[in-house]
Formats: sequence, C-alpha cells, structure tokens
Amino acid sequence: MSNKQQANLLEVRGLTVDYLTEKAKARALENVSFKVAQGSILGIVGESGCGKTTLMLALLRLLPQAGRIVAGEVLFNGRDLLRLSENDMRSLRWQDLAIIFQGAMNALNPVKTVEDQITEVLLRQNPNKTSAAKRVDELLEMVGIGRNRKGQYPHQFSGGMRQRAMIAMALACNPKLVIADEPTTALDVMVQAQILELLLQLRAELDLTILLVTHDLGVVAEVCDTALVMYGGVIAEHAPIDAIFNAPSHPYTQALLGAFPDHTKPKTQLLSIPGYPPKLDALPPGCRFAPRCSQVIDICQLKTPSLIKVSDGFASCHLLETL
Amino acid sequence: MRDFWQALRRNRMGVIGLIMIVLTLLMAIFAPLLAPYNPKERIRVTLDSIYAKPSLEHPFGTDDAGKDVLSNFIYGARVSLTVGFFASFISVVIGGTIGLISGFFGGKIDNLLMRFTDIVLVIPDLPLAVVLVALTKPSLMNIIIVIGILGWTGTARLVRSQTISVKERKFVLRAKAIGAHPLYILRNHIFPLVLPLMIANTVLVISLAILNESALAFLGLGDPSTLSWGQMLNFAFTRGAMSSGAWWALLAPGLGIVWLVLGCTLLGQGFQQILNPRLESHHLQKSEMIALEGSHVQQATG
Amino acid sequence: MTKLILRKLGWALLTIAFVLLLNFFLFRVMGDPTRLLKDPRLSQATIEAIRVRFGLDKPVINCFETLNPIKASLNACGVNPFNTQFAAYLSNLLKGDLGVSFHSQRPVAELLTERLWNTLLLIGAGQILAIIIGIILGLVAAWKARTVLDYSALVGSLTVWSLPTFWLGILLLFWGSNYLGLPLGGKETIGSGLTGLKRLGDIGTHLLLPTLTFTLVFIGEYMLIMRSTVLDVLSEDYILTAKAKGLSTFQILKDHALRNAMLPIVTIVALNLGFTVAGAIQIETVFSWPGLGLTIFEAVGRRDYPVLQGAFLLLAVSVVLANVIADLLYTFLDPRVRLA
Repeated sequence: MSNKQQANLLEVRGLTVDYLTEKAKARALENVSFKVAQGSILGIVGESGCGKTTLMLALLRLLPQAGRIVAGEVLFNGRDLLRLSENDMRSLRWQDLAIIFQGAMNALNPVKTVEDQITEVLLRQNPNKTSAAKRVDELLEMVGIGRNRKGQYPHQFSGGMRQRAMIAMALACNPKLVIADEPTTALDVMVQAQILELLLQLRAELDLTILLVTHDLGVVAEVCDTALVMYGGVIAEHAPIDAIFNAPSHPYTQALLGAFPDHTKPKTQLLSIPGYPPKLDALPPGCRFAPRCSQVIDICQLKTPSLIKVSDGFASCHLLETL
Repeated sequence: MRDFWQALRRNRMGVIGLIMIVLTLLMAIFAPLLAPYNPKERIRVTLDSIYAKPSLEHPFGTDDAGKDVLSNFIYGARVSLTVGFFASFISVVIGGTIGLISGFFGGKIDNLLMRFTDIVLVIPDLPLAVVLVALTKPSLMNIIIVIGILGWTGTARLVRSQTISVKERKFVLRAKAIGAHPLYILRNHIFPLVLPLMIANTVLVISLAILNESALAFLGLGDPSTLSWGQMLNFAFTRGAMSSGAWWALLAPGLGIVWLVLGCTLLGQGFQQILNPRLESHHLQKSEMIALEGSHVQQATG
Repeated sequence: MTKLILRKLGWALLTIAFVLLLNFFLFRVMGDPTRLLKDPRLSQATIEAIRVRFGLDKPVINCFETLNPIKASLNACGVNPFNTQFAAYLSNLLKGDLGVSFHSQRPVAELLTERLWNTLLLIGAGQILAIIIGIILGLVAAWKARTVLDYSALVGSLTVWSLPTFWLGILLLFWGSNYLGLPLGGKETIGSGLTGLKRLGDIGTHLLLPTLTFTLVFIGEYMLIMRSTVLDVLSEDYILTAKAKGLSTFQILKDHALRNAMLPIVTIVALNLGFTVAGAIQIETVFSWPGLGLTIFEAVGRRDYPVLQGAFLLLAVSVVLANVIADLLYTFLDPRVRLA
C-alpha cells in the first residue's frame, strides 16, 4: 500500500544524535533523513544497538540525559519538533504523537490500575471524569479487552493483554502518529500475530500513521509499507517493502534477509551475519558495515558512503555508486 | 585490591571519611603526648576550678570535677575507638558467619537462620542493651560484648545476599561440579568475594557501635573506670553543666562523637559507591538534550 | 492472601514468645533473682509477697535445672511444669501483673500504661514530621540527582544521621531554654493549674523541642532511603511512559514516583522502630519527658528491676506488633502482593 500522493506526516532531515559519556562522545545517529506518508506504516529494522531506539526517542525528545540532538529537523505536519519549547512539545505528546513501548510490563506502572493509567491522559484533555470513563470502555473494547478487567493491575494481565492495554492507552487521545517499539517482542507467535492484526485494523479504522521499530523482518514483511534499515546509527537502506524483500540493494539488508528464516523454502540455509554491530564509541572509518560485509571493496574502509537513490528507494553503499 | 584503593582515592566522600578516622586514631594513639593534663591525676578542686571557662590554661574549660575537658576529650577517643572496633568485630564475625552459612547452604538452614535473624532484628537494640548492661557489671568488656552481640543482623543479611549471588558464578559451580569440599569452596572461592563487602559494612557497624556506646554511657551505663565521650556528656548533663551554662563541657565530647561517626559513615558510603556503583541518572533529569545551532530551545527537561 | 496474613501473624506470635522467654531468662537467670530480695528498700512483708508472687521458692522452669551441671538432679524433672517460676511468670503476665516497683511501690503495669501514652505522643509527632519532611527531601534530591541540591541534602542527611540523639537534644535544650524561654523539660508546667486549651498549649511548648530533636535525627535516614528508592523508580520504564504521555514533572513525581516509592518506605519505617525506641529513650531522658524511655532511665538508676523488666517487655512487644502491622499494611498497599 503506497500513499505517495498523500502528504508526508513526518519528515526527518539530517537528524544527528550524540551520547556523551564522562570520557568520550559517541555518535548514535548520523544524518538520518526519511519521510513518512500519512496513513502508512514504516518499519525501522536493524540489530540491537543500531540506533532504532535512539531514533524513536529522539523524535519524541525523550532521550536519556547523556543524549544530545546535535543537528537536524523533525518536521511533524510541517512544524519542527526540535525547535518547539518544552511546554509546546509536552502538549503535543500523546495528543498527536503516542508511543507503544516494548515489553509492556515495565512500561505500565505496576501499582496503578490499567484504567487509571489510561484515564490519566484523558483527563489532560478534558477533566470530565464520566466522559473519560466512557472513553476507557470504548478504547478497551477497540483492542479487545473486556471492560470488566479495566480495574485490574498490569500484573494480572497476560503479556498480550498488557500490549493491548498499552495500545489502547496510546490511542486514547486520537494521535496522528503512533510509534511502536518492538510491540511484539517477548510474545508468543499466536499473540504476536493477533497484535499485528490489531495494529493493521486500527490503522485502517483510524487512519493512523505508524512507525514500527523491530528487529524482526517477519513483522516488517507482514505489516509495513516501507522499511528503514539501520546500521551503526546510519540508514543503510530505505525503500518500499517489495524492494526490500525482492531486490535488496544494501549488502546489510541482503545479509539480514539471509539470516531471516523463510518458511516457504524450508531447504534454504539460514545464514547468520558474522561479527557484531560496531560499538558506537569505536566506529570503523569508512563504511560502518565494512568489517562484516562480504562484498567489501577498498573504498569501503576509507570513505563513508552517502545515501543515494536506487530504483525504488535509497541506500548507502559504495557498490551502488560504481554501478 | 590495588584497583580498590585507586577507586577509593577518587571517591571524595571516602577520602574525607578516611582522613577523619585516621586523625581520630592518631589523637587516640598519641593521647599522652597531646593532652596537656593526665585525667587520672588527682587534683585539688577549688570552687573556681569547677566548670571554669575556656582559658589558656584550659582551652576547652574544665568539667564538674575541675578536670581539663581537652585532656578528657583526647583520652576519651581511646574508649570510643576501642568499643567501636571490638564490638563491630564481634558483630561482623557473628553476622558474617551466619550470612555465609545461610547463603551458601540455603534450604532449611537458611530458613532457620534468617528467621532467627528476623526475630533478633525486631527486638529493639538499645532497651535490650540497657537491660543487659544493667543486669551485669558495666565494664568496658561487657559493653563491648553487649553491643557486639546485638549489632550483627544487618551484616548477616548483607553477607547472605552477596553469598547467594557469588554462589551462582561459574567458577564456584565448576568447583562444585568437580566435587570440591563445601568448606573449601566457602573459604577459597566465596569468602574472598564477600570480604570487600564485609569490610565496607564493618565501617558502618563501627559507627553504630560508637553511637550505641555513647547512648549507654549517657544513660549512666558506662564503665566507671574509663571516661568515654558519652560519659563526659552524662556527667556534664547530670551534674549541672546546663544550669551553669558550661557549654564547653557539652560541646567537645559531642563533636568528637559526630566527627568519628561521620568519618565512618562517609567512608562506608564511599566503599559502597565503589563496590556497588549505580548510575544515578533517570528519566526526569534536566538535560540539554537539544544542542542545535540557531535553536532557541537550549534547555529541556529531559 | 489469608494464608500470607496468617503466616505473618504466626511469626509475630513466635517472636513475642521469644521476647517473653528472653525477658524471663534475663531477669531470672542472668539477673540473680536473689538480688530481688536483698534490696534494702523492701520490708520483710514485701519480700515475702514477692517470693509468693513470683514463685521464687519454686524451680525456675521444669527440667531447666537438669541442664545446669551444678544443680543437676533427676528430681528436678519430676516437678509439675505448672508449679515453676516460669509458669508463675506467664500466669502473672496473662493477668496483666508486672510486679511492683521497688521505688514507688506501685504496680508496674499501672505505672507503664500511664507513661506509654506520653511516649506514643512524642514518637507519633516526631516520626510523622520526620517521615513527611524526609520523603519530600528524598524525592527532590533524587529528582535533582547529582546537583548541588542533591549533594547538600546527602551530606546534611549523613551528618544528622551521625549525631548522637541525646547530644542533639542537649544542644537544643541548651539553646531553647537559654535563648527562647522554652521549658527545661517535663510534660507540663507543674503546679500551674492550667486547664483546657491553655493546658494543651503548655504541653505543646514542652513537646516542641523533643519533637524537633526526634524529627531532625530521623529526617536523614528517611531522606537517604527515599532518595535511593526514588532514583530506582525514576529510572523505570513506566516513568518514561508517563513522560511520553505528556504528564508534567510534578504530576509524574506525585502520581508515579511518590506512589511507587512509598511502598518500601512503609517497610523501612517498620524496620526503624527499634531505632525509634532508642531515640525515645534518649530524648525522654534529656527532656525529662515522662514516657517509657525516661522510665527505663530512672529504673536503671534506681536498680528498679520490676519496672525495667516491664518496660523492656512492653517496648519489645509493641515494636513486634507495630512491625506486623506495617508488614500487613505493605501487603495491603502493594497490589502485586495483595492480588497475587
């Protein structure tokens, strides 16, 4: 489902984030740029430590204390979020931009009831308690939680239920953009499928725009329209889902796909990518993927590739430049 | 061990605490050289020499018996330090043994020992200490023993939890797998790893012991043959220092206790920060998250 | 849940049983019982009464003598267990009879109940203030972690923690009585004949300094514990969620951090009761506040063993009970335990 004719809800330009430690400075994101069309689902993929979570937190300006956004723009409906005052930003949070955190156990306060935690955001908008209570019922019904369970505490819910409650909470104020951080990690396959189904259904009903952060290519294949493959804090490849899966341009995307079990072809060998993602405070010179790349050429060790246009999307690889 | 000292040297609280303790120790050791008078010496008391104001002759004034407060104060450090070290030694040995056994063997032994610890923990220390000292003779030895056998519960719990975590480490499991004797494992593998924590804990136990000794002495249960800081305060308080406005008899001994206890507390805190470093950062800290050129948002509550 | 409560109550009973045994052995075995009868203040008739009341002519406890190699005899075990000193001790306790004070010749139980309320008043006022201020300071210090504010609160807390309670009391008493015209001690002005509100005001001025001492001594500890608990809570994921929800910092601190950090505080307050009692003894002694602590101090000075024994028993049992109450409160407050 491509919505190219529609306006871009979110546009990120040259976003660069550093983490400051006592001794050093580590670049967690470098020059990240992408656009997300209204009503589409963008998958942000990569191994852990590649900058997915940093990107998501930077968009909401929720980075930990050591984080610094040192360059870039985050245009949301044309407004640059990075240049809003803290108060303006706060009033946008959850009203326009909501987030579904991973592992909903700790993301929900263990000593407050699920209802309280949803009501809390509703009361920000409208202090009327009756209408808030009504809205809670509506939301829980939407995500498939019986209203008799709203007075319960997170620990009384199953993992899947907690994730649903988290989704209901995210939708409370009718946000335009929902960022979902690993919403299906740590859930069993059946529940995973149900949650993804739910997201798709809600997107259709509410015209949501979703950023789905995951390390699971299967999830991306199932629900996303476009995908952003990240490696070592930079974009490796950004392309529509068909291109990513059928004609991946970047060697890292190719390697990820090789490591991804394809159930339709049971005989194919599962390849894992040798080595580990780079440490952010010790990035290799040149292309960050070069040390693990099977197609590495001389220039990769020397020069950082820039994001270039390839048939359907963008990728950053020297191999593509020479073509 | 060398790493530990390096880390301690960088820890400001720990260094300050250590210096405070060492200074007190030096004062106690060299008391005969430092004190202008010998507190045991018999003196002729005149009306003028009781609660005399601080003067060149008596920099901290005199007490109810006409004795030099400064000299009493300097010698008093010996009592506090003696009680602190020996009582905490008893506490740490008892608590350490119980904690090690409890954590290492687990199961029924652990359950039994920890229940016992809980019971002792609940019984209020000071009243029990008062009763014990009142029923026996208030000698320095008895005071040390009483404070020692009442102060081990915290150590026992701490050592137990540390033992449990160490027990699961690979090399311990390996030693177990090759059939090493439990006591061998306890002595050679677990104890060395629990020891640093025990030392850190000892410093805190010392501070508690010193506070307890001073409280007992203040309540009139000090060893009559020695003069501790707590006893100096007891004498001053019960023998009219308040009504004669003799603040000097009340100030120095109290400050001595605070100095020594604070030294131990700071050193203990320092040790803990080194052994148990924690990131003191959280989600509500103020941060300069956005450092963009040309942005008017320089600060944000991060 | 019911099982949990029953188990906790069971442990409390066991602890109380231990306290009863300890109390008996301390005063009957360690504190030589014959000393009881040698007190010059006692008349022959009183000595006889005590002998009967405590069954001092009976064996200490059934079979106990057989454990003592000097007194060991096979006969000892043949004694009726209900005809022992221990049985007499227990039955007297059940009747609420704690003996008679050597000093005032009044029943100990009567004397102690009179003073228990004064101690509760002092402890209550001091603890509540210390808890409230300590919690607020700890919350703010954790929120502003690693700033000047945090470090000053930390050093301040360590310092007040290091103060001997009685010494701080003495200093405040010295200052208050000399410069502020506050009373030198006691609960109220003796012989003032004040009634009603005026009397309450008088008690209030007497309570001021002891309460202040209590508060100062305990603020440090509560602040330190609250600080470290809140630091843990504030780095939890649900705080990030709350922030992403656009809640204000104040709202997050109040509705999420405080609420979650309060739970450990309940346990700490309970564990601290021993220190609280220690504080009460010292403060009451300094300010001559007529509570259980002063009673203990006086009893020690007068070698009034029945009073000392009774006061110790009452304090120890109260602490055990308060502990079990706090434990149950925790169970009730934490939904993870309550609904487990």
